Amino acid sequence: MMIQMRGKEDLPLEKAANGAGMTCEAFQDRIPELMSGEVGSIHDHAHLKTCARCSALIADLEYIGEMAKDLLEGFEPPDTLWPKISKSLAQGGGKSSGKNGLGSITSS
Amino acid sequence: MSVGQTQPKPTSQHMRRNPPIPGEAEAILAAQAGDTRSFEFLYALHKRRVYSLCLRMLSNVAEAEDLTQEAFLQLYRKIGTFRGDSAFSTWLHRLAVNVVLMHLRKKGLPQVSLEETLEPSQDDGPRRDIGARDIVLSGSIDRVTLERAVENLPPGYRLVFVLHDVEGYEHNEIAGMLDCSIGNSKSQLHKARMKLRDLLHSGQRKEVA
Repeated sequence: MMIQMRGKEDLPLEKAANGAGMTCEAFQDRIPELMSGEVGSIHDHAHLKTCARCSALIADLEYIGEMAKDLLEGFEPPDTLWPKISKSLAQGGGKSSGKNGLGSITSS
Repeated sequence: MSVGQTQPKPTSQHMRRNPPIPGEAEAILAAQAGDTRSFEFLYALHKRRVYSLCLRMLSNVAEAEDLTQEAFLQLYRKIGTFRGDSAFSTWLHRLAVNVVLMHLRKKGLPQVSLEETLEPSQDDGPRRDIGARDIVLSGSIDRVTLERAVENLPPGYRLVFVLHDVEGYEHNEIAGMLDCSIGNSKSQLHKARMKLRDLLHSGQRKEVA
């Protein structure tokens, strides 16, 4: 699903590109594209130079993205998992997942 | 071409999150030759990351354990095909992602249909930030709080958020994995972050009250 433009996003493309006359709603509709970095830095967008609310929003979204990097190794699997894997390997589980694939693996 | 002679090719963001681990290259070679102790060493190195990936994508402990097990069994079967064209961890994590996505597709339930999970109901969606200004989050959120908020994301939002922001996949890679457009991936990531922001702000307001 693509973001639907509406309201003041019907402005001529050059106006929308430099943020002139852009509402917060219109700016926020373009955030997925602007934050991908493919059209330059979002921080250079003219709307942010005059809108503290959207600047705070972008700061929050970037902060969440940065914090997410700390989640890579959040959870420790139970100590019982390796013995199960080892047992399955010893029974040939490493060679075939069985006709039902994952269904051949059961939790005890 | 042996594993020890190759250099990872850092072509995307997630590869930069997977630096070489001491002893890993030797363990890979030994495991490829059938040494089960080396395979156990590889399990110990990567179990947290693989299990965390499964748990976040599924939000179900029993399923996460089963799929972590399946991922390492598949690793055992396929490790001989690893040629070092990417970092081992990148290769393994992609294998684990595929195991989870295969599982979700097999389940065929509405909440895990990729088509449907990419479109959570309006009630689950994030609100716009047009009204009164909130307190900014910067510096105020710890890992546990964010983890809890991620758990509460609608499944489709959570999937794209975990793949992009946590695991470091690019939108074009996610689009390929989920069989959706790149624009859809970008849109869902934005909605996920907005929803997280809502959840985190709600938590802050509760703390203040």
